[in-house]
Amino acid sequence: MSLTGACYRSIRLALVAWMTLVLLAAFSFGGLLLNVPRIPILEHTARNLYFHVPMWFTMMALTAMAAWQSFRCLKTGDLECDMRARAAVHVAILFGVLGLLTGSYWAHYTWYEGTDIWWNFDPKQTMAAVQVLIYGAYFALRNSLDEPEKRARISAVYNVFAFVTVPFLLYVLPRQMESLHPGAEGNPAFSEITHPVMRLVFYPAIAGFIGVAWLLYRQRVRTYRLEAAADRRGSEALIGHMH
Amino acid sequence: MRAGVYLAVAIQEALDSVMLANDKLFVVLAVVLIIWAGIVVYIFKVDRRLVRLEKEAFPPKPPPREYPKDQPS
Repeated sequence: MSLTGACYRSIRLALVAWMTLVLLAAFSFGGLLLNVPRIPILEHTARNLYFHVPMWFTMMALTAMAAWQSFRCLKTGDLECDMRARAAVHVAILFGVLGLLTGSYWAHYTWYEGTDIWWNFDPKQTMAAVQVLIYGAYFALRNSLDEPEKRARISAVYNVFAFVTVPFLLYVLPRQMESLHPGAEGNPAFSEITHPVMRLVFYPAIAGFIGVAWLLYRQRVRTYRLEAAADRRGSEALIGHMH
Repeated sequence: MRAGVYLAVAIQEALDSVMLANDKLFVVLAVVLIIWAGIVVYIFKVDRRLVRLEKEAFPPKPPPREYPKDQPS
């Protein structure tokens, strides 16, 4: 069942309030959290941890949601699940692209400071781009199929396989290669270098961004339902006209 | 009148001192909050539009009509 009415509105309000608090905390909170460690190269941009990294966590959460809905679609043949999977992949791509853009921008002014490098094929960067392309192909596949049931089934199989690649492309492979990202070969992992003060904002930021993504996902699902209803009405009118 | 001007100047100076402190970091906070406010307004507006369209597309089902029982047919 999907949430409606007052229940949805109170969750929406709570998410907006939560995210606003996270944004305030990211910069100050009365000076309490202001003094994040000033590390050379990173300086104030260390705060990008609260914004850039949650993009990827949010994308992973959405791909997991999409895979779950596709799995249900395969089991039951329900087209509603197909719509939800499609909506989740759509929002996942949005967050993936935002992650790529923010990462490229951040790296330009820190890792590649003083150069004109914007894109350096850092393994994590490359794999993330491949991941976004894999999910882009999901829509290419969908557009090539006309019959709704067949489209739901085939794209659901593809989507489940796409999700299997996520932990490898975003986590396992970049760690095995030479990368500037934390956790790669020879680099300390996130847990070893991140100051505890930053975790007070980082984890709530992940939750907040996933919440915002859920709002966007829900809006898309509702849009798809309306589109489907309009299509049904359209074809009924056409059949009525022919008779 | 004059008090109002003093107040406005005092507010402006207080705002400047906050905004320029800490390497002007709070300017970024202000920008982020403006963007966030825009996104929130957008989410709410889309939701309202969806509710209106859903009311048109999926009208509530009329309650089942009740027939009086105990009547000779």
